Amino acid sequence: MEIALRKTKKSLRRKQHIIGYLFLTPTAVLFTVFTVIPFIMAFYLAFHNYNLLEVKEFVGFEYFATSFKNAEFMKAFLNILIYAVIFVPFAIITSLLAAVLGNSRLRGAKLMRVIFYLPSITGSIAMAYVWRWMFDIDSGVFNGILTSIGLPALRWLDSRSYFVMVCVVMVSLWSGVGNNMLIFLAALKGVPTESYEAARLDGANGFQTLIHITLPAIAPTMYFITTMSIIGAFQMFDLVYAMVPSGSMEWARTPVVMLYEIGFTRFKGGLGSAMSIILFGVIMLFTFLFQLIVKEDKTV
Amino acid sequence: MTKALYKKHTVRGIIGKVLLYAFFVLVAVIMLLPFYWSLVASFRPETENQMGFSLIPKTFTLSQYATFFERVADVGAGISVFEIFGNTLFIVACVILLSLLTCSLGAYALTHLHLPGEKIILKIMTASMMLPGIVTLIPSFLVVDFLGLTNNFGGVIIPAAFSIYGVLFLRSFFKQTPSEMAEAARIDGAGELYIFFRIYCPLILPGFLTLGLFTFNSNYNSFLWPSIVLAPEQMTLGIVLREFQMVVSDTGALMAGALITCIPTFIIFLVGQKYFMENLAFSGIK
Repeated sequence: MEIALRKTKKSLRRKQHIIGYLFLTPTAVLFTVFTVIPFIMAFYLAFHNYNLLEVKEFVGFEYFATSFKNAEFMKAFLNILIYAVIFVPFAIITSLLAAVLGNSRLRGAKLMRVIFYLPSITGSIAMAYVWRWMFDIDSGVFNGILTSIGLPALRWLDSRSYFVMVCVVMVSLWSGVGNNMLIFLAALKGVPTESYEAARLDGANGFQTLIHITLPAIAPTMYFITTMSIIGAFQMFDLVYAMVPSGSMEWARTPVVMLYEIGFTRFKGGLGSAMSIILFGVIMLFTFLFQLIVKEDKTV
Repeated sequence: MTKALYKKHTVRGIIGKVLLYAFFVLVAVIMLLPFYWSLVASFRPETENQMGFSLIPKTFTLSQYATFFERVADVGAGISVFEIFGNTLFIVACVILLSLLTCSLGAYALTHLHLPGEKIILKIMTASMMLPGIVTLIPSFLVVDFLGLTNNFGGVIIPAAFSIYGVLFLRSFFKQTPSEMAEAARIDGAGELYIFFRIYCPLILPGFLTLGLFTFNSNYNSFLWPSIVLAPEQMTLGIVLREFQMVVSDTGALMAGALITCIPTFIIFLVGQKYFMENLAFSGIK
């Protein structure tokens, strides 16, 4: 009787496992076909001439050599580095601040949460055009305000200098703060109230509480958001593509913008793949560097 | 100690509060300015838009909206705004339905079916979310082309029908449901699919709603991939604005278009606000 029961249990378990794998099959198949295979194919395409219609001859390292010798492409990496360096710290600070404010018991905190999140739900391309007009030299809001208080008008998106990137960062922050804020909000909810009580009893003011209680408590989340922000920043495309005029592209062209142009406008799929792999390597490098810095801090 | 208790009634406390609320107002203005501005621009004739800056519009007109509706046909495919809306909504609806299905099946399997190798699968999934997606852009086109899905709504729908994030997200909801119900139902002879659909799915409706909203958002506005894969007649909202501004120079009409594009997201956001804000953060960070 017991052996029969054990056998039934075992076959029930086995059936459960098979069904479980079956349930995972749609996701697994789609993941393999649309993520894993393309990832592997990227390495294959980077060595072949692919014009988006058919894969042609083997070209060896030619595309990689061309990429590294291309001044525009190298400049693109400088551009994106500048963007990332400006963007990531501000992104963390603004979304953390938004979360702290949104989590507080002040009146209007709940409304603030909605207001902070609103820009995130609209399409970045649609809003990019709105911002492009707001940055307009002659009829834009910003210059309107500047001139009406007697300051000189700025060229914003057409400034033919790295100020263009500052403008892109502004829009990026505006549309991105909501998403990160949500993640920080969830993290803040996880901080035990006893810690806050203890701090208050010790006489800490708001600022001290923030530094010594809140920040250490949400450190893992900060680490996660910083990593994702770095990875995302290096892939900046849509805002630059929609907002930056050709005159200022030299300072704003990002690797992905270039890659898109090369791959889909000039139909050089192989070269584009090589470029994307180089970009991938750079992103992995910076992510790894960031992890090293954080680990070092932990041991200290 | 008593001083601290009555702090909010001191002058310092009041000034602090005033500053904080002023800051709130400033932030609100910055966050909402683009919406206000595009609204203003879309209701003014183009001449006034070009005339330089003024906070309050002088003339009110609907002509910019008319221009947008008319000139969209010029944008290269001859289709109307309504068809574009239709295309977009069709794609998004399919993606939501399919991805909710695949994600929930996967999440359930990883939570309640105790599969061997579960930990490794989860590790791979979490790791894959950290990889930059850009590498797969061009090869994905090769794959989609190979499958014959270019110039086809399927080319956009099927690659989006799964979501590793979705699986991890729904998993956190499934984890909050007990395993015993499944055990009991199995002993009673219920099939696994029945257990899944009839017992567990109803329990995580909030999760479905939230993920559905999130999926709606990410696909409704999507521009890059649809622009690569779809034929001109299949244009979606994400693409039309870009094409429009290359053909029509009226800023007001472009703003009108941008606002029209945003209307469904606004409506959905207002209706589903609670789900957006409160549940979305339960992603698989843990």
